[in-house]
Amino acid sequence: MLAATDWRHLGAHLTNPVVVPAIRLSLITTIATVALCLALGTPLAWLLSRRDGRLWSWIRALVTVPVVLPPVVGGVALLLAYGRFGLVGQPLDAATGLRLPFTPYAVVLAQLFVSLPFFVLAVEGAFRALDPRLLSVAGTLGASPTRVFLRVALPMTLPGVMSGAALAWARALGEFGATITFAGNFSGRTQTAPLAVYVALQADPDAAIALSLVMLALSIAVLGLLRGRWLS
Amino acid sequence: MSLRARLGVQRGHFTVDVDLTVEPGHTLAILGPNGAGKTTILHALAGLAHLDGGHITVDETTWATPETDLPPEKRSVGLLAADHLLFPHLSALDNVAFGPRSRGTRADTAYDIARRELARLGLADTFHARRPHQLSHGQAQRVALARALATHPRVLLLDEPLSALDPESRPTVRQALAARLADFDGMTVLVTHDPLDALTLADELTFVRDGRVVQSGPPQQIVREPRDPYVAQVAGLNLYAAGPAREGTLHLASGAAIVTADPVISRENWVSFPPSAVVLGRHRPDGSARNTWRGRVARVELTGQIARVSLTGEVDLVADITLGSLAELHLAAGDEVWASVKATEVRAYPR
Repeated sequence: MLAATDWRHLGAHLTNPVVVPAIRLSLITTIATVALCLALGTPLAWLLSRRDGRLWSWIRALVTVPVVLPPVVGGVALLLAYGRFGLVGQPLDAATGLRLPFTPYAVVLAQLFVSLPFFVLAVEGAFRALDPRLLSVAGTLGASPTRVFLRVALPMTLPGVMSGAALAWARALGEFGATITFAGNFSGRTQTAPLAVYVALQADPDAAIALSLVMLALSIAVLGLLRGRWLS
Repeated sequence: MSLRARLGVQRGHFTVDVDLTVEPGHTLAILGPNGAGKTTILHALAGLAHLDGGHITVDETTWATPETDLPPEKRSVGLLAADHLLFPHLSALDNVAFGPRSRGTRADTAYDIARRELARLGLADTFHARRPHQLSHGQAQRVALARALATHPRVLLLDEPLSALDPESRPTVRQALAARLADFDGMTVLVTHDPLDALTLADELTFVRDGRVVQSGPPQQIVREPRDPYVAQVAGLNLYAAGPAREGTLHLASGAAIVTADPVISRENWVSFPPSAVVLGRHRPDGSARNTWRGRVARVELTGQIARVSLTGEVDLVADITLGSLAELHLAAGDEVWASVKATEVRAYPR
């Protein structure tokens, strides 16, 4: 890929009116996705790691489904659920007038759908690896379950949470199938970098390569950042 | 104002059922072999194990019954385990302040308490900022004790607190613990299998085996009159069950006779004598000792300057002899020897 790059016109390709919005959209949506993973996925992973029983194994199975589901099928499912006549979409529309499909919100939702399970499974593993006696001791010292989570479990598993977030971010950055199905492919609005690469490859292969190069650089940068600080 | 509990806990086929009472300012030591249910007892008191029967009452407040269960964070307990279990991401001072902070104490007050508790255990300011991995085992264990005490618990639970320490730091921590317990006004329950911990730290001993109390009482009484083979082993005495006495002679279950100078009035008795009271010889002794038995050496072990000889025969016993006697007798496993014990060394008490 590096060999095929048209280095002389790289600057021109990168400031292409399609490339810039696509990169910007990808950055904003993937960051939003990771933020939602952290906010929703961390407590969920904690609960999954602390609870056993039939109900929780069902919840875990449900959370895990998108790992094995083809992303396109996920996109169809999201479209059906959040569509104008969908199970969630219809009441949402009636209550707030908000229609999610084919909006940047749909991009985030699609990315969340495919990356949350990776995040939850990674972080649940980190929580399960904690010495349960430390959590018991925190309880005997008077810490409520919430405080045990926030002040003991979370700080101790920060590297695990961070690597889970990196995994989720990488998965969100590469998301294609669910996004194009649920959010469409509108340049500047829902066209993320992978979609732009796919489109550009047919019209302007050099621009596609340039865009791929940016994504590669971004991914390596994030990996390097995390490697230095959290991963070892 | 005390801890009163009857603990019934079911763990599969294993049942724990024990009664405990601890007065304020006192320490109860629970001793027993591995798997006796000692840790289960502590977990029930801490709220980490559910009661299937009985109750836990502290200062007239009910902590637990099979129907109601106060969660650990609502009980006034401090727990210290064999491993210090300090939070690795917090400094020593933050670890100690964690408890008071969790119980809603203001930050500055909580840190004052933490500093005071660390100072009482002989940990200077230089240790405050250290993370657990920067402390020695002994220091970490003292920080953990300070943390357990910083919430001013009514009940302090010590689970083998010295067993994971190396031989060099154990006496230091034992001394710090003894000094701190001396001015602790709550109730302390100490679980240990080390008789030295129990004898130096506790006011009362309770021996458990298979989830049941086999003997309890003040240390000096237990050491003098064990009533269970395990207790006798810990107290370092030879112990036998015996029937009624006739003119100072009792018969053991094995049929062997043993003579005591103690007055005996009961029909069922325990008979005990210390290993140091046994004199061994190659030939039948003709001295004043009233008890002489023939036996075979099963094992010879050295503990310091004393040789411990286990005999099997008419009466199974252990004898402590000096290295000099050992060299003179030239004993090895399988040898036939005579053991003699003076009647005045044999104690008898009702079973």
